[in-house]
Amino acid sequence: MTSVVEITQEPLTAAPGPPLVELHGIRKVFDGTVALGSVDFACAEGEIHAIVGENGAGKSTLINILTGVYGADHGSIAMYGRPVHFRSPAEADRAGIAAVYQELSLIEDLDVAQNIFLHREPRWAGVVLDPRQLYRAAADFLRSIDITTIDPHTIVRNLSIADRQLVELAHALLRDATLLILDEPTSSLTARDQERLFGILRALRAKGRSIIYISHRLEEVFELADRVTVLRDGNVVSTLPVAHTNQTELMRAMVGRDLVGHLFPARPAGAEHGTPALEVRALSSPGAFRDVSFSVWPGEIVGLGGLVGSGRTSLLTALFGADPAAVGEIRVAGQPMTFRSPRDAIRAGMAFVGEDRQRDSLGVGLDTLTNLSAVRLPVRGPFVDRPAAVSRAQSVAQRVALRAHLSRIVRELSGGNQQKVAIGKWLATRPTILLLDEPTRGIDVGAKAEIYHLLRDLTAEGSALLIVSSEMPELLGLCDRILVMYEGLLMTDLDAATTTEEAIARAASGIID
Amino acid sequence: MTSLAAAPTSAWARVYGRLERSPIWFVAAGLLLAGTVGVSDFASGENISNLLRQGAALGIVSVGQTVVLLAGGIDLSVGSLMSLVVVVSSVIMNGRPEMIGPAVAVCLLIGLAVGAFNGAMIVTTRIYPLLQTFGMLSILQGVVFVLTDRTVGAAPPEFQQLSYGSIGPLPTPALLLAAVIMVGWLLMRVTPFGRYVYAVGGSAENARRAGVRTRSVTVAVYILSALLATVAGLVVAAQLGTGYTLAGSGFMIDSIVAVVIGGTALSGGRGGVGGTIAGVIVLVVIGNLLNLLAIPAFVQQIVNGLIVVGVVALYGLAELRRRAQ
Repeated sequence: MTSVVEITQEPLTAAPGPPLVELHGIRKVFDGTVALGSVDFACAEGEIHAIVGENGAGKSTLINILTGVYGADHGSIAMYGRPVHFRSPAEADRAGIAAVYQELSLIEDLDVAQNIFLHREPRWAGVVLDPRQLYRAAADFLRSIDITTIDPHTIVRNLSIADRQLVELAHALLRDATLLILDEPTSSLTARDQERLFGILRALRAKGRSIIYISHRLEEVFELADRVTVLRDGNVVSTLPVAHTNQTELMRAMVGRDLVGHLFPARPAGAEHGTPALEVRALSSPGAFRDVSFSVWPGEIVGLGGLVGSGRTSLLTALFGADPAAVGEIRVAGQPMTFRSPRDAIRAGMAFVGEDRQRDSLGVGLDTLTNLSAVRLPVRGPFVDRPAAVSRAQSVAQRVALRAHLSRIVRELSGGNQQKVAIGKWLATRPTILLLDEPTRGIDVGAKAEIYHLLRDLTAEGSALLIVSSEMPELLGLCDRILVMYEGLLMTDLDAATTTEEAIARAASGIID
Repeated sequence: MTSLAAAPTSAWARVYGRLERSPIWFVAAGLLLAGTVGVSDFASGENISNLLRQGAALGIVSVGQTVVLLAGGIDLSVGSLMSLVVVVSSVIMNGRPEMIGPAVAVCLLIGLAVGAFNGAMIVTTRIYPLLQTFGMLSILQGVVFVLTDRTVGAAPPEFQQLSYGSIGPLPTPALLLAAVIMVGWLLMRVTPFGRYVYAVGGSAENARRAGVRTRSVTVAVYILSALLATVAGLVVAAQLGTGYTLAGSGFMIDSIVAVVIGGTALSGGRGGVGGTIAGVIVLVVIGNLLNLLAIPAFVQQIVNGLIVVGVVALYGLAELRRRAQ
């Protein structure tokens, strides 16, 4: 890790070059939720410009507009001072813009070379593909960016998440774009791959290329960027030369000064031990994780850290009985369990809120009442007991501080309210074990704080929580203990009160102290 | 394949691996073998010519259907487009050889318009391909019945050569089918267009983000499908010799079945023209064998259904095993 002090001692191009791309007054509203208020942003020639912000601050929306994936509702974009209007990524591509999106954008059934060269295939006479040249060029290009472990013939479906991210990077780098946009490109890269990427990016900058680098890891910003723009709740808070700021100041700008203090609830002293609520012994699932053992006691919040693709989500899925290939021992309150399906897990007192709440947890086209009644629907004889469902939903809504009427369609709710519904629907079952995957992804800071407090309140009633999170502050601030996974192995079990971001990051890269 | 398949340990393992990936070729080979050995007239020159003649139209329309399914779509309108082509071409020709050219030209224009309309509606209004092409199916069959309520027109003998003629020892329709297969296979395997069809079927949004013009690709696959259905319709017109209003019925379901049992995923992005050929062989040979054995038509339906369910189940099991590894 490079400290801030070292970086500021390096000579730094004080004034950025002329602007390559400028955005003025960009506004975007999705289903009534303002993703971007009115954003002004510029990236200069030969500059690495970082964009930071919490989840849901609007970073990804901004770059999706810049690359023509979405159209903006208002505002204008200019390149080299001339107005441009991209209706599709193909048009942005022609203007010299390449992007690596946060959600991986590869075609799973094509192989590595076909993906890297998608839309840029080597051809004979312009019309016939040249497969020999394709695989040779792919191998050469991968080697030129120092990736030697990936075979160009491998079908992408069979690659690990980390390797897919490298292929995605190769696809964008091949373009040799004048503006390269990277949205959280390091979320599943090890420290070594990350260093390699940074070396490549610095070399591109030296060639006069511009790079927009989106991250929520501040240390990366100080290691790499010239300037940094902070987004919060869809608006630009500030744009600063990296040399003139520090992590504390950026953090405050990202989160909002007033919220820093009580974002996380207080941690009660020493969770009681005794019989674990959940005990896992030597649990393995082929290709996902192996030999995982740990316990979670009642009243505890245990974080599950690690890179994207390290096996955290697979582990959660297996615990919830949704992975038929998983083998090993699971005990709930001391009793050995065999879960053949999520139905068995629910009966044993488990609840699961998936990482993509719209896909995993909610019926987004249905109203809030229906969603809150989805688990253990109140019935009277063969009929739905609507009065009971309503009164139960009302009490849950109050408990989770839901700020939306029960008749509202879930799709139209804000991300924060959607997540409250996704968690709230389980409260009727009084779960003893809650499994949550990225519970605050894409929601605003205020709702985040409310969800943190809700989760902590649940532990007061003796529930045990296991939470997958990619956000360091969340792991450190919310959890009692932090388990870190790396390539399917459980690396370490850290006390959240005494550990550091560095210790977590090292374990997530496979380094045990 | 290089990384997926471990080094095969034995000949059996290799055969089994191949069987798991494309069981349809084994079904096709098994049927051909069983027919040759067990059914006396099956391998006769006359029956084989018959098979090729009957299979040509289905093969041609199925190649187009394959491309649509690979791109993640579906084309339900091919059968009624074929009926329309049969009626329109028969009426225009009406037994006059000099009208063959104009009839073919008009039919190709109709096919072009139908495919372009299907594709344009799907990319501009985001209507489900299933609904768009179902609507088109209904429109085209309706147009046929507005034009005529009975069999009309006639194909001149010269035109019927398209179905009954031979070039050397090979029936003309078989050569036409071979040409379509060749072009379709090359299009999908060695051209950028083919690559983009797979990419769009795999993930239209990701293909778009890679700079592929996904809307053009989508429109193109529906045009291709409609043009091939038009060609298949002309073959049927030559075969029947007259404008029968329901000539194309059955081809929609059969083409989709041939593609799916040939291993192309209904969800798009996986499969190919090769498997479809095997699928067409299976459908045509089963029908032929059951006819030769004088088994009633309704039993044929049961057998067809069992084959579809069985083969698709094999693909499903292979997929599950692949995931578990």
